[in-house]
Amino acid sequence: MNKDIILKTTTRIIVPFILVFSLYVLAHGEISPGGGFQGGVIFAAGFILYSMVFGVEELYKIISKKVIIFLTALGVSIYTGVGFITMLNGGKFLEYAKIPGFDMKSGNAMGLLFIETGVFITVFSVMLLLYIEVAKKYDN
Amino acid sequence: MNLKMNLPALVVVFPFFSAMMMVAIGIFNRKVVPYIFQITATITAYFAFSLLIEVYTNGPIRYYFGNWIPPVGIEYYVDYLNILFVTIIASIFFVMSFYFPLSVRKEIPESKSYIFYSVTTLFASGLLGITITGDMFNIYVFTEISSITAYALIAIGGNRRSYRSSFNYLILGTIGASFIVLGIGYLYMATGTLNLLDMQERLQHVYNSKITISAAAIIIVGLSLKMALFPLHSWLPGAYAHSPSTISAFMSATSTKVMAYLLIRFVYTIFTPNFATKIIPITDIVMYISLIAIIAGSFLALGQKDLKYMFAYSSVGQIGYIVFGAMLINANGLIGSIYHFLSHAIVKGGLFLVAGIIFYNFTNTKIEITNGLFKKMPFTSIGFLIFALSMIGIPATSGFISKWYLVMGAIETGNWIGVTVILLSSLLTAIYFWRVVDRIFFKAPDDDVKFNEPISMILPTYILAGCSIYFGLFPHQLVNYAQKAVLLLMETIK
Amino acid sequence: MIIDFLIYKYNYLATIILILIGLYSVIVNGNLLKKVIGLNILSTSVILFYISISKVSGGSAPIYAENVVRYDNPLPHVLMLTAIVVGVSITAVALSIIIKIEETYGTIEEDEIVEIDQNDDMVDNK
Repeated sequence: MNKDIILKTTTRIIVPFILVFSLYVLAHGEISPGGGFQGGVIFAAGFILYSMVFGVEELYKIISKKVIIFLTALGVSIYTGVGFITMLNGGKFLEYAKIPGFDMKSGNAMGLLFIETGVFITVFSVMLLLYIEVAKKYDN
Repeated sequence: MNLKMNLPALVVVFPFFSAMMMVAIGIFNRKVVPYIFQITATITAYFAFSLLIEVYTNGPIRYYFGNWIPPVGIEYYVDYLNILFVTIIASIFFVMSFYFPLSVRKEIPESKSYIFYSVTTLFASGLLGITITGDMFNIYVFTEISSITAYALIAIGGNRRSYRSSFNYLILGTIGASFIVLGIGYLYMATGTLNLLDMQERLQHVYNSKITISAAAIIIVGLSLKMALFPLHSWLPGAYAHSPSTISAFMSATSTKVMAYLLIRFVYTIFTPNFATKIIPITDIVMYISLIAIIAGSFLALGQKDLKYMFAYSSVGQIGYIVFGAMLINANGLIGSIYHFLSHAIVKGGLFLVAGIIFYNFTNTKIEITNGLFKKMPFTSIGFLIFALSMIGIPATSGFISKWYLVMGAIETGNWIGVTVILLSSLLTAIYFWRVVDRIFFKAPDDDVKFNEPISMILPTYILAGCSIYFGLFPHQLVNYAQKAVLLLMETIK
Repeated sequence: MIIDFLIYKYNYLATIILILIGLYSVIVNGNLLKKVIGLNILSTSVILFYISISKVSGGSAPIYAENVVRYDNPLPHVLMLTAIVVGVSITAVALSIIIKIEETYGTIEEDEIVEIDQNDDMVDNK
């Protein structure tokens, strides 16, 4: 299977589309079905497809395991970080209207996008990590 | 920043956030993680104590997330009852955080230690979340946060038995949690709200509905599974005995007790005692089961050959006390239950810390190796003696006060079976602890190798022992607090 | 009445059947992997239940659209998103523990594991 040229070529073509589509799902989360969680899963699916075809070692050349673990923490930190910023600004936890530089309306829209981005990063990296942890035993 | 206003959120979110920070920093530099861990524990305890003072001076707090007014938004509801539990969990976390570094260095592979600290902090924040939240579905989410981290923490224990016990716990814990979430779904179906106080209000009109009755049944089964009430306890001994010693200490002190708190919350705040007396006698049923649990746990503890197994089975019995007191529907019984929550968290946590020191030196915790331990490890042995006396319920220890109130509650409700069972079980506890105390103090040691007792491990043990004696000698302050909580809970009975 | 129930509320029936299938396969199967599958069925049944109670008669999907008066209750859907995440994490933890069990015991059949543990105990007590 490693030498299969159809598989490799198709994957090369299809992975960028999967990644872009996941970003669309993320950005369109507030007004249509979707959001950080679904987007993150799709984004991870692109990477997982890539590593299924080319092997985990090839994946590590793009994104190392340390970075993946760091992203896991980073996503949640963005989520709680937004909460802390609103608290520092005199509001309550995740009170979007109190994000500095935003008013009630834009804050609610943009605040949601911020935390969805956090969710996106965490879900993406956790999914990838789960796959790698299970797959590395059966690699090669 | 308005620190006072945001305390309820900070208590949960801060450890959660710093757990993530530990991972992010830990990949680059593992050495600093234990310090971050201790700082986190300290600050969390500080938040919890300020919240305690705040609640007892200004009354219950309702904290709305994102300033969305319930029932739309999620609410943290801090009243006199759960602030006690929050404070107990946070301070136990604080005291034990000193104990962690040495024990972790001994038992956890170095490459995994930063993940271990992070997951432990996440576990603590899950427990704090369960106790503080005022939203039904949040209860489920935090239950799962604390359980999933607990599975991982048990599995890190090192030998293959820990994998197996972790898997057992995972299966039973997930079934329990599924039951809880199903029951919450039934309640949502009956009332259309997930907010605790809102639900209490709306549920009164649908007491007779079959949906409410099934919800009560399903939730109580799920909670009993999670808190290891006697016939459903089979996951507990393995999970406590084969996890790292720090984790068995922290888990035994908090995790099953938090589920007991949820039982109190569900029975008193959501269903209210009226439901139990008028519709179906759930409290009576659970009370008799808890009496069986007290006796069975004590008998099972009698036959164990391993210290950790003995403490674990005795936990099965002790959770029975807490449930028994809560199910009496009587002010003194409930005070006893809350006091036992504190007392048992201190004492059982301390006992597992003692087991951890023994493990640190012997790398096992069989009872037969404790022969003449007093000569080898005097401080550890004396700590063990204090905790053993408190477990039995000797006057001047916290165990005595809680049993006193429990027996008073049982007498007031005319529950003479309960009185007999509590006294009998104290006797059984005395028997199975004295078996070990006898070996430690009166038998000659097999050899005269001296062992070291690191100060960072002895100190937390003695702080807990001191707390046990302090709350045995001066119970007034805490009883006053518990009385206030009980008054609030009993308000619904009219 | 039973026929009414079967026709209009069959999803609740399906919930109960799924719960029972899940519990049965957790209890009866000796293979740890099959137990995990049973757990997944159990949590799926909960999801089906929540989605069932979110239905409002005559309501459309809870996405804003013109000319729609009545929407289904979106809250249970959101809650179930969380439950799905929880299910995924539990499966992941369970699978990784199973891998570890397979590494250390050499089997994932429960009766064989119990046997190995009992042999260990016998050696310990001698």
